[in-house]
Amino acid sequence: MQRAADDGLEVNLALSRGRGDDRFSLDVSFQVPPGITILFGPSGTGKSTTLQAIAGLLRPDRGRIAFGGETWFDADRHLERPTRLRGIAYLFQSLALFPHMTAIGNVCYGIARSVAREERRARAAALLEKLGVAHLAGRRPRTYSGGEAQRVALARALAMEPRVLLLDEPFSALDRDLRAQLSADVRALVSERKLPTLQVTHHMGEARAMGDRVLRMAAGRIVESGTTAILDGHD
Amino acid sequence: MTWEPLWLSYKVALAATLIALVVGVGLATLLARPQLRGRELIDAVLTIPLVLPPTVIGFYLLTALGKHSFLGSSFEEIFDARLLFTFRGCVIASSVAALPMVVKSARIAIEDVDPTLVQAARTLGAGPLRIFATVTLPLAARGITAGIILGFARALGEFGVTLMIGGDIPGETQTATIYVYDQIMANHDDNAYGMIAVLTATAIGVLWAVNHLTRGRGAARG
Repeated sequence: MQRAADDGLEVNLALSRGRGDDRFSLDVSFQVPPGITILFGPSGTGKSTTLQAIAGLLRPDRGRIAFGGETWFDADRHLERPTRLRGIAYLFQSLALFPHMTAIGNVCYGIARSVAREERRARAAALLEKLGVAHLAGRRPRTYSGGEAQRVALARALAMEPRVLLLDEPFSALDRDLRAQLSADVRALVSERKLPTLQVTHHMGEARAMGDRVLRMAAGRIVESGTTAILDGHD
Repeated sequence: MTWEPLWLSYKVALAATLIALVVGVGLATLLARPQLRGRELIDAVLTIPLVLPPTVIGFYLLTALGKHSFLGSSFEEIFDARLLFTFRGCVIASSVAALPMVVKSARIAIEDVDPTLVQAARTLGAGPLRIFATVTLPLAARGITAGIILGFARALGEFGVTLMIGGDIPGETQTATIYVYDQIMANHDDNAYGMIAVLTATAIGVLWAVNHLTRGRGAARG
């Protein structure tokens, strides 16, 4: 079930959107090796946009995105690999759990269709169990608490055996204790799978607790990168 | 008094609703795509049957489907049958009436589906068809069903266009609405009472069902 991580993710992208005062431009270049890389900065700096571009949910104007030897996007060569073939697990800020499916249904959704149905369900059940939410298996998302929903979304993201994990402010809606608990769980899961992980946050404590590396962003640019020590003085 | 026109109306409305369902949901899916150019114009053209006089729509259909038209003559050549002044003509008239109801409701319902859910499905490896079948369609089902019910009611109540391209042939194209008209014009009102009662009850039932479905919409999304 585990997949050894390939090389990291290479990101080099630029885009601009809007006009006049609403104009927003993004120009970033960085790498995401196995482990957790934090994309840190205030709201509106382009962190989520960067994540969406990596996932192929929006198209950059220029640049290149590659994973290992595989090119996902290359503006010069007009190459664009569809989102569904990139092997990215994306944890959305809103979680985006399918409201009409049970936890098992949600988690099974990303497991390859070539896997037999019973096997898919068994894998999903095992992941829910591992994340401590096995009791939600047959229940739909509107009955979950905030923390439970996070765990089901995390199980769904991991069930597809991703090559890269993208987390968009994953714990923003949680209280402090739950945040600490889930942060520790995610760290353990990422290190166990050696997954290149890019996590967006504007929460200093979360960045410090989770990050192996930090990319500090401001106004669509990476202004500083290094260990979590670079966050000192930005409280 | 005969109930035959009512059964004919139900058969016509059912066939027309099925056509409007397939065509309407397909068109609504296209119209819900923001990248489709000219989608508001296409939407306006599809909505025309709601506002144009039935005689004008009837004229267009007579011109487009008559035996000297390309469509009418081709159909006659291939199937050795006519489109106009037959059961098929009635179905076409009712389909045209039902289509805007289905397209409008289905488009709103599809646009209402949270785009993040579609993005999530993409990241989970699903292609466009699977996303449509497993995410968009189930989440838009209530709105689409409401449109289908309204479309059925509109098809059942069709009168003007049906009269123009279906005619008034008892047993073949004389639907309930045309029968009611004929009886009242012939001063045989009592022959029409039963059918008027059924058509009215159907309309009330339909509106109740649509209200019920659209009221529960938010809850369905959880």
